[in-house]
Amino acid sequence: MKIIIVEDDASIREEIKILLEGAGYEVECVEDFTQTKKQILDANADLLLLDIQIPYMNGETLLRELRKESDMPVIMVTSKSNEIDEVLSMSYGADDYITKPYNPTLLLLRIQAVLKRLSPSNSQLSHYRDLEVDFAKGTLKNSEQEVVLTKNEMIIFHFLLTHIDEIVTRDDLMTELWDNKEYISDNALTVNISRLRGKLSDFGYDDVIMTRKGQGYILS
Amino acid sequence: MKYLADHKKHIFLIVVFIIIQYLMGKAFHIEKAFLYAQIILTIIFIIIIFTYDYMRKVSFYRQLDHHLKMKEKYLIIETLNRPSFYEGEIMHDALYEITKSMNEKIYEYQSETKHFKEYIEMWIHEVKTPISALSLMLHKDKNNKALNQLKRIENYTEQVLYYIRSQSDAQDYLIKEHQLDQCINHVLMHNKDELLMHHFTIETDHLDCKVKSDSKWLEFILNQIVSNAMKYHKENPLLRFSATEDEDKVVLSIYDNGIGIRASDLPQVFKKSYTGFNGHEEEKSTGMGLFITKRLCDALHHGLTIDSKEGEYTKVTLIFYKEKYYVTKL
Repeated sequence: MKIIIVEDDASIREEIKILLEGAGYEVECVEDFTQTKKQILDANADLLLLDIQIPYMNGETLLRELRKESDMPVIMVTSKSNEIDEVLSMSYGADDYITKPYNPTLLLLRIQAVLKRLSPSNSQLSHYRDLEVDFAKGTLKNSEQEVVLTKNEMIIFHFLLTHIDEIVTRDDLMTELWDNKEYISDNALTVNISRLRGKLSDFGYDDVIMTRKGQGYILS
Repeated sequence: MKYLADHKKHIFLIVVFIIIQYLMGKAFHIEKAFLYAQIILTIIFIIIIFTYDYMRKVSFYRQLDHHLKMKEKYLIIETLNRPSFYEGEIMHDALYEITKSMNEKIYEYQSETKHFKEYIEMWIHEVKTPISALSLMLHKDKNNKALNQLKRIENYTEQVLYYIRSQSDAQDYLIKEHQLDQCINHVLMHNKDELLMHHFTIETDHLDCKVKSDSKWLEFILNQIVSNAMKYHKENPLLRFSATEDEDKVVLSIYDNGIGIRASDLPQVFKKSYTGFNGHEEEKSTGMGLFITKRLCDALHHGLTIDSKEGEYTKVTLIFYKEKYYVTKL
């Protein structure tokens, strides 16, 4: 996945680049704002992160120009926390709108959400080893048995599954849960993880969720 | 009567004149009947002159006096007809000039305040760029202590922004239909780390309703309420959001089991710079948060009340009215 950043503040540009690269995206930054539109179109990116206040051209104007030629996903970033501006941007064809200063985990989440919404392969079914995972029903099953997961357990498992073989921090899991309106506490997360481990071991998968001390969890 | 009292010197001179006339008539042995007729005629003429003068002035002064009873006294010049007598003209023109110069002065201050507000708004948008950059840097280093301090800076800047917005006459907001649980979710996500740090239990109940509001303003309002709950919490803190909906309104209650508010402080909490007992204990209080919150609610026509028992709980109630409420009220 490639993301192109249009942001005139050099330090923010650099930090977002580091953040996104850390999350596994390929990143290109616009640094010369005389040819912004051309560079965006040439970059062939999967998503555009566009600041509203950029040199030479207003971000909203740029977005309208861009929409004539491309329907790539666009997230507008602005320091103006104003409903009117937001509605305007959305009407010009932005897919999401984020106000500064943003929480970095939230920024990643919104990018993920926009990409997910637009990718057609967003099925309710997935597989883990020989298990069939049904997110809508909240069940895990193989040829012999079916186990029901609670909503929280499913959110955790889903997140681990989409980040398989990667370290997932407790903070990442909390952000994901809270974003799904499950406002659980730190202790409840520990309880949910151990229950999820129990349910997985019912299928004979012991220790597939490993704890990395001081870092988080990893699903193998 | 006042008119006559005001002209008592004139009347005195006229009486002296009549007496002189009478005495002169006597001295020159003028026919008595002619003398009396002349005096009566003089008196009649003088009465006519006074009456005429009175009539000319009375309408102008009555109008002036009547209009001075209204609330916007500074508009008086707009309501008066220009009088047709000289004194009145002088007064009318003076009033006109005074009002005009006052308006110019007010305009000067108004545009100065407007420019100042615009500058502050611009400054806040500018300061958000370094705050964002810092937040990204600190997040990378996992420096949570510094991030918490940064969040405080951010909250205080937001407060200034919304103080200005709540003051301006221009409508800075846009009322749209919003999902209530989504707005609450944004605010809880924003405060997630601090809520978890204090080990808050969060309960939500029936938040799946739509409300008409400005989402940015509403999130600021909710953020102030949540900030207060975090600032004044006790052990085993609880924060509960629950909503009820009927045909003309949605009522959102935000309950916390914190230290509460003293009964004597309760009626004052929305006053500007009022800090109360809790505010003195906790030196961080500026007394502006709830004041701004109330003003924003007033501007958006949302109801806002606070109920509390010291040492037990604080319950903030927000009321979002629907069209039906306004229709039946009219």
